[in-house]
Amino acid sequence: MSKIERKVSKSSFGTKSAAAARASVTASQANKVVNRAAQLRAEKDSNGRAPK
Amino acid sequence: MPACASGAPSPNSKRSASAVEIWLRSEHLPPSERLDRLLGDADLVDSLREQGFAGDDWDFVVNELAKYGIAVIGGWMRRGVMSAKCAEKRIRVSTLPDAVKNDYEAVEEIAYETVAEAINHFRDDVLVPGVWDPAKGAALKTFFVGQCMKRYANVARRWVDHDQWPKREVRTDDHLVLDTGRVTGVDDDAIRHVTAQRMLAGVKTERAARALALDACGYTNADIAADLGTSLNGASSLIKRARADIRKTLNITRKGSA
Repeated sequence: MSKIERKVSKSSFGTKSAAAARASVTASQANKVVNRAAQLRAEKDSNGRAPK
Repeated sequence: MPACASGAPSPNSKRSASAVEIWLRSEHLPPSERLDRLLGDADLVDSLREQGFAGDDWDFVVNELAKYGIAVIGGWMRRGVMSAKCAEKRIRVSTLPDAVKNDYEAVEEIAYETVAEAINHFRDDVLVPGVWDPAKGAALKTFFVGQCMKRYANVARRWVDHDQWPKREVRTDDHLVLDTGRVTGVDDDAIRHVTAQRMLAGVKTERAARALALDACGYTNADIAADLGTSLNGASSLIKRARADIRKTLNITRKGSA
């Protein structure tokens, strides 16, 4: 387990129920959201504000 | 297919709840563990702050936030309690039309968009300015879910305000779209029309059928995304799914006639 993984596991995101919730989501689903967040950030950075 | 995306719980909520769903109702931690978790939250935020909320560690946390957000927001939407949850926090949300509530892909897209926006706002509006304060007792994940609820209100409003869902007469619209193709003769047009109808009937959702119809008529993915109120990736995904549905239908038909 990496250092950041340990920190997350000790945080409020690391409770058994929160971990179960995260485990219920596939990597593919998470990737879609992560990529969309990156896209929104790139758009915001290029426009100077969040896209409507 | 998810049930209502807002309002009262659907009949489906009467089925036996999963472990995640039970947790979604409430999570009670002993005071000692709650304190430990708060200290853990503070340690996590301090560590991320040292790295400027960027880099590999931040990317890892973003991935965990995405998973957690999808599980919570998606779970609430599927159980039809999103509006009630927002109301508890005095966050006003637009009521989604039935066409959206009953469209699995639409619900999924709204949940994804909500969480994606929440991740960025959580970083910029909560973590970077130091708005979250462990001394006040709220867990970091509570703040994140609160951010998701705020973003959900915006995303849902955009869907409602911009009419971003297929009309009830979507099939008629599709026919009009298909009819705008160049006509070489009445027979050709009739054949094209019937063939398109038959093929689109194999597509599982109206949104995917509409996306494919627009694609077939030469509309760009950007046009399709704007029409359906989704992202470019979302439009592309809908078209792929529609094609896969049709391929599956054609294979079944061929096997059946073989």
